[in-house]
Amino acid sequence: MKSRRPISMRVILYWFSRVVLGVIFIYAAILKLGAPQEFADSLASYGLLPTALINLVAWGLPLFEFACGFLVLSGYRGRAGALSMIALLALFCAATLAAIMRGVPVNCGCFGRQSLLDASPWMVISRDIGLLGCAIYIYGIYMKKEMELAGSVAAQKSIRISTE
Amino acid sequence: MIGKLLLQDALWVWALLTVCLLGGLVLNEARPQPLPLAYSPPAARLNSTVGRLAAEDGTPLTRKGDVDLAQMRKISAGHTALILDARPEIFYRIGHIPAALSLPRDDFEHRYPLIEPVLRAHRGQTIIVYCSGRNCDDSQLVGDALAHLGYADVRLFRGGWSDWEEGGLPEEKE
Repeated sequence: MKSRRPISMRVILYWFSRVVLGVIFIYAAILKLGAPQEFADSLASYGLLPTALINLVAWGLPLFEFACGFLVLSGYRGRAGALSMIALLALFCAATLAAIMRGVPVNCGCFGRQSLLDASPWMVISRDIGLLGCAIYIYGIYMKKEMELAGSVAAQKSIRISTE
Repeated sequence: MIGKLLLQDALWVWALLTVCLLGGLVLNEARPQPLPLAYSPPAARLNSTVGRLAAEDGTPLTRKGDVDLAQMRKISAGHTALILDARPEIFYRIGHIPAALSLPRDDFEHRYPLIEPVLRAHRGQTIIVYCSGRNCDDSQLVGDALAHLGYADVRLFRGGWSDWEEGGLPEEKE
């Protein structure tokens, strides 16, 4: 009888990160798409974007988040999805930190109307850093897989050449 | 090898972002109430709404004094004024000062016509507006809007919901 291999912590962490990130990004995107004006107001509260770009970003960013969530969750172009998440989360952290440093009261805007419940910007940063860690971990795993694949292909080629 | 993969992924990210920004534009146009291309801040939006709603006899008023927690407590218990909650409706549903009506700043255009008959009935009486606390400006904006719409005695409870809640005073939920 074939014995089952125990599931390693690495595999659990990998799937946990993918599911958590995918679900959170899709959930946040849906909430933002349902309240675009509120999201535009949140973006404006950071005082970082020029006025002309605020509404454009308020429309496009939730779709981008949705796409990232879908890619990471489904695994299709997962590497690009994970890298997009890394870029977005780093940007969110930097924007929130900049607002804290300038003493600007911001409304996170992370979860549409519900983001009004995010009282503390430090809580927002902590959450984003946690998610950023997950995204970097997933991207690292993807890259490692690619490197291993490239390594095995190179090894097969060299075997083929030596046997010829 | 890593550099090549990173570049490839970055190009994908860029392409995805471009598609999403363009998709957002299309999606916005498909909405029943699309956002304008240029962003307009809440105060400007409210002013433009008030400008449309304002009756010809709407006269700006001199704002009377604000009310503090003790006064607010008496007013709420005695029903001696009309109380308006200017916070987003979700917060009104979670909890509000007893007998307060919801007139959210962010949905003024749609909510005002709904409660206008009640407000008109209190036109000569005191109307008190509050929002979440001292750091919010929703009560100020709604108060100004009502003043421009011709309501004679609009006052603010600046301590707002946070003072009310901290005072352990009764609340209503919807």
